[in-house]
Amino acid sequence: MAHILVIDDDIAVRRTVQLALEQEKYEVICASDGDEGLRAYAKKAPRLVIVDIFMPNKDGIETIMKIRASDATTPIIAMSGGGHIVYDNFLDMARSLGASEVICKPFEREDLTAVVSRLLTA
Amino acid sequence: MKTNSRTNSQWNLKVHRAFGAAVLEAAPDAMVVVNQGGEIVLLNALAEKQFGYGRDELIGQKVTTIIPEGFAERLLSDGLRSAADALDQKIGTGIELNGRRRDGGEFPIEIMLSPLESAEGTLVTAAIRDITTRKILEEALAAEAKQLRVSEARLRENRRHLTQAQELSESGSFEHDLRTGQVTWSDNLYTIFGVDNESFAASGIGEFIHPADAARFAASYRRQAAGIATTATEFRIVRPDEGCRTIIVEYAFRPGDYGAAGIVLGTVRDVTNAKAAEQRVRGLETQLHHSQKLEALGTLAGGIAHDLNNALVPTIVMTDIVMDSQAADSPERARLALAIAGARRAKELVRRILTFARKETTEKNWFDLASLVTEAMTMLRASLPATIEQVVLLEPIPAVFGDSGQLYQVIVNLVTNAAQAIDDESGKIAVRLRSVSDGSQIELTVADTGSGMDETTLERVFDPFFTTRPVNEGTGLGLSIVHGIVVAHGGTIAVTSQLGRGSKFNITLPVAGGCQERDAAGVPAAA
Repeated sequence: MAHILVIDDDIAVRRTVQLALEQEKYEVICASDGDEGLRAYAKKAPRLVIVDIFMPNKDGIETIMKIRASDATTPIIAMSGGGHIVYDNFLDMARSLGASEVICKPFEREDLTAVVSRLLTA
Repeated sequence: MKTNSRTNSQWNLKVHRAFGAAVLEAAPDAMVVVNQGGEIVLLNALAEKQFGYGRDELIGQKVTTIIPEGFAERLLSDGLRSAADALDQKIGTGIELNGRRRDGGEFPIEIMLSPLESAEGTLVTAAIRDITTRKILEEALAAEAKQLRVSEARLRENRRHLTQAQELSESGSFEHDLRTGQVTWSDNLYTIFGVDNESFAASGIGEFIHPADAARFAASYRRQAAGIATTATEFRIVRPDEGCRTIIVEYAFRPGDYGAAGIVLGTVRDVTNAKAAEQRVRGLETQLHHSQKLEALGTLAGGIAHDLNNALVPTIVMTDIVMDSQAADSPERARLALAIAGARRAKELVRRILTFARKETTEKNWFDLASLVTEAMTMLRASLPATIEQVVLLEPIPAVFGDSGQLYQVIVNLVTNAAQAIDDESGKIAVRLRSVSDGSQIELTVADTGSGMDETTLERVFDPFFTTRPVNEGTGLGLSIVHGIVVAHGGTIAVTSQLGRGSKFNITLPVAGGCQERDAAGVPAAA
């Protein structure tokens, strides 16, 4: 099964997303910030990346830009708990920088799996 | 007889001459008699003195010696004048010329001329008056008159400045002479009291004071008139047109001599406009304070929302995963479903807090507010004490365009508050929905028979974090959220309350007929 890279600084969110996807038989690798995520991305060449927006060290926006600098095709899902600034603004920004989809936290399991499935079969 | 008669006539002539000479000498002015040739034929002692010549020196001299200009010319023209005309000339209408003394010094003179018939022909008698002193007096008088005109102009200018200054500062002044009882007002004082300065006779200002302030004013005036200093005091006045204004009166007292009654001077400042402006500023400050609090709350809510949203990811998704692992009819599965429902409620709550903090756009649609009220009241029935009676009055109203979730929260918050105001007592909560302002607005009223609020509470009732409840029993956000939602819907909210009697919240929402067109079937077009 395809590798999915999950990047989020919140361990509970990481574990939850990982479990939800593993239940769907995806292989998941995790990273706790943008730097770690980019290293994992370079090493594992995942088929899909799920990245949180607000993270320490390297945030989601920067991570998406780095990936898109050399890779225009790997689907990227941006997710955020929003709050600091109007959700839509940051998710819109992520989308304009190349995120294939955006998801607002908290989401339902089906919301996540449906988007992942759609992007991987497209 | 003949001799006698001759003797008599000679005697008469002598007497006549002597009399003439005596009159000439006794005249109060210098007298000079001049013949047609302009030569001096006779003069008196005063003339000698005035011009500084001896009599012999002048006799036979041209009159131009002592009166260089004007006199000779006048002599010619007067020669053409009849004796009657010359006699008609009145004292004081003489000609003004300059005389020249022997030492060459000139001085102003006035000359009165009269013809004198004599054996040598017509002579001219000139009465010459030294008018040096008069001229000095006249000049002084003219200077004084000029000074007076300048002073008068300055006075008028000062008065104009005073009037302008008083108009600009919306003030006036008065003076009450306690000795004569006379009262005078400045022009602008008439304006302040709304009376005409032509027809209104200035009097004490007491008659204008508002009845409720009259006793206070009279007491302060009495104190002032007795010479006891008073501070500037505010009173209300009622004008003849029944307009009510607020003035500040300040006095000064000038005592009379030896402790006698003196003068009360007063200034009156019309502070009605200033007070209104001040009130507007206070209102703006309150609004600013309110919006600053809202901003702080927004930042806080934003931070909390982010963390809560993250925390809710595992709560919802993990529970869902675990739930799936349970048998379809197991009690664990049912319990986990409750946990998920709770987490979803929390998710909705976060969304609402963010909405309140204006960090999220709202979803507006057409909906039936009456159904929403019914739904909310049914839900609330279960949670309200049985001692509280619900009265719901729903009149037919047009559909409302807005966020139904938010307006649901408005109803829930208001009714919950009402219930808390009633507490454990028995009471009533009335909710009424009706169409007002000719159908252009919808009014939602929530009234209770609870404890009511005092003025201080009432003033702050919509402030975020303001609560009268004990710590941990209220966030102080409920009514603030209601206020935010109503304003976001273009509506207004007002509250009236009476301590011990209850409170009433009145919300009006615009019927958005103008900007949200409906199609022929009455269904609103997609928003």
